[in-house]
Amino acid sequence: MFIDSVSWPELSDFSGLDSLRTVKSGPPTAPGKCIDAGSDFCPCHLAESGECIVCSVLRGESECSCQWTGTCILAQATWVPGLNHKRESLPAPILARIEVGAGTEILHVGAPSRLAAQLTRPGSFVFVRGRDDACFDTPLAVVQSFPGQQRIVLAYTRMGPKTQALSDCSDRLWLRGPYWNGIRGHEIIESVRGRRVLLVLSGMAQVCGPNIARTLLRNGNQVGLVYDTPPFPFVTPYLQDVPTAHFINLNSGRGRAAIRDVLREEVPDCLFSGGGKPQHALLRRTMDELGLTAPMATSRTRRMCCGEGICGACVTELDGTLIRNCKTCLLPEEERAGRDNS
Amino acid sequence: MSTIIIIGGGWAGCAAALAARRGKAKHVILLERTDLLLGCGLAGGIMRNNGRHTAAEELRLMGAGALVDAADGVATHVGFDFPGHHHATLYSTTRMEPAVRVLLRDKGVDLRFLGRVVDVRATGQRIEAVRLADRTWLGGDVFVECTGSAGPMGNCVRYGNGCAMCMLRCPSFGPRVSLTARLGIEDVVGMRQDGAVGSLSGSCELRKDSLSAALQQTLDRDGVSVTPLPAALVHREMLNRKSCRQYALPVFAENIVLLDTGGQAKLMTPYFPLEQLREVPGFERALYSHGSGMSNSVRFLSRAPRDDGMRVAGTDNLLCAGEKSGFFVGHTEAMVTGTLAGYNAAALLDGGRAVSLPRDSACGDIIATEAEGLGRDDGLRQRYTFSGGIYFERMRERGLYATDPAEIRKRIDRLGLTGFFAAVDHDAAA
Repeated sequence: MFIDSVSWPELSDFSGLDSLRTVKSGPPTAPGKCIDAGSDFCPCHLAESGECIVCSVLRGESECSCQWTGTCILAQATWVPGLNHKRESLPAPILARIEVGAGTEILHVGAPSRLAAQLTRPGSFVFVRGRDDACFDTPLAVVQSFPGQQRIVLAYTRMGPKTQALSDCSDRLWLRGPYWNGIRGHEIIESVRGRRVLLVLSGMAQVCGPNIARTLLRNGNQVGLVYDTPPFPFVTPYLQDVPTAHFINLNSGRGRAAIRDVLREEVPDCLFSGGGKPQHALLRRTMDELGLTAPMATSRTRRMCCGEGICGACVTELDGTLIRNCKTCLLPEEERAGRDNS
Repeated sequence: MSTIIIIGGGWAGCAAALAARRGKAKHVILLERTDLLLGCGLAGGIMRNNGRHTAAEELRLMGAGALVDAADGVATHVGFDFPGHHHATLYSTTRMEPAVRVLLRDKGVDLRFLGRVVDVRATGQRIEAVRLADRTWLGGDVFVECTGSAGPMGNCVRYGNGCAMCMLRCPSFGPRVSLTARLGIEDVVGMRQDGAVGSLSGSCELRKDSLSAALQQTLDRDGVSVTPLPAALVHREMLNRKSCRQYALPVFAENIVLLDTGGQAKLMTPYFPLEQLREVPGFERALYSHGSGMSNSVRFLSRAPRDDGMRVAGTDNLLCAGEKSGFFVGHTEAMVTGTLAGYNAAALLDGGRAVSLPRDSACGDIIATEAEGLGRDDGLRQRYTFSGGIYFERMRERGLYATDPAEIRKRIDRLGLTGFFAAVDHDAAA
């Protein structure tokens, strides 16, 4: 026979290695990306403590097998040891307060131009506190940012001691940022070009809308808006770039029929749901019923505490891997699949 | 229809895709991480030097010469000598990739660019699907891993001098992921002659138009230029760091050896500090096009355990080729392993026999010799190429090295391999 036959599926004689392992599951893939990867704040506290979300080598694994497209965090850790930026709280003047009803207040706050520029990204938020004590930090979404005027716009509703302290402070608060992981599905929102996108906004999550709408418009998308009413949405002054909007009570039967009609007529290529879990579920269900398969980004519903992946308040489990939700970029469906261990 | 999924569009993956089309109708999908085929071959160009000529002719005679012919078709220089090497052909690194892309498309290969594979799913020993960077799963019947061994950036940082911004372009397209490692199969890591981990790619590219007019003329005319280096600029230690043992000759340390690959001049050393390079007459205005004056990609960190039919040990339906399958250096070597892996992938699907090539052919012998070499004391430091080093020596000792077309034809004919890979049905043809 001129050809040596190699039998399947038994192994042929292999003399190179004496301890072969059979196929089993490899090391867990780190799900999602890190919102801070490649930013001024990378490598971060987690990388320094051997728990980088992205870099398997910094985590102590032998294989270099990250999922990140961008500069190598290991290389960065070599280039800038101890020189990378850390977010620090800085005093910031309160330039204006606007009461918009139902205990909600809009704050115009002074912020350095560079920080303000970094807060134009979808999902941007900052930690603020009205008192010196660090335990009063609370995350607030950035409604709009004006880098040229060194000013950002925030909104909060008085609910507990942290927000009460914000209400009580006079002309100054403490500000720490930028943070960006205030939504799920950055890659959906930031990659869509020249398509129809529908934003459905309700409750406090409406504050995510303006930054998302501006990004979508900048990328040549047609943006449609649906506000859940009542009450009247307070972000409308910051969404003037979108000329028309639907005002629908999503909690009524008539409203559910109306949103169904909107989805059927607009056939969005992409969707953002800023609201609570029931709203996300309603939209998903309605889309399914209509046979629409557009990807949907959502506002985040997980709790947020330190924002740096350190405190563990937001840790959940996904496929056997612990997820630090404040840093990890997951798609909404991945977040839903995760188990909340908190 | 059955599906064969080839992961990695370098020379090995392209060869595997062509060979996998044989037999019954099947869907051959080639997943490539970047937007270009050929991988490291985009900065390559050297064919048919020394024993590679024999292997290239063997491939052609066995019916797997489409890629060899394509390289011949865009050659900038044919049948020329450079230090330590004879009858070489250089392909144009500018014209090569478009030619291969057209060839594969014409042959019905389903090319999918920006298709980086990040994970793999298996039941028992059977691979079921690969996961792409866009988080979708792609199922298939047989898989061929041709992900290579160069990079990603973390390895170039750990074992080299950092990212050289080479043709692999990891920062733009994302890192290479070893599927065997994801499966929990331990990859074999190569060592350098100097005891460090991995090897540096052996050459970098200068912009030809940044060289002196005289050097450009020499390159255009001869395909090669050899410029003596001042003693102070001779870095002999570099020879022990490079992957290409066939070019780890003193002459390559004592001179600047350039090869003409069309728009670029291939500088036959992993890197050369630009300031020092510009001290050499003719190089006063030299600029790098790929690579840099301080680093190059790190390779040979990811060799899968395999049998001589290219199947990955411990799996039922995963094959491998190229640098993934051994410490092989070069395009011709990748075409050989890729062709065999693609053929066997198709054979596995069609219910036929998987084969290994006979050791009386250079193509078969190098595959078996490389695997045997792993068990030796210095096995991790060896590299295998038809064009030089220990394997070319072996070719000559065994009488496998031949340049006479009639002799090679006679050998392949005697082995019954003429047209073997081209045959629609191997058993019928035999």
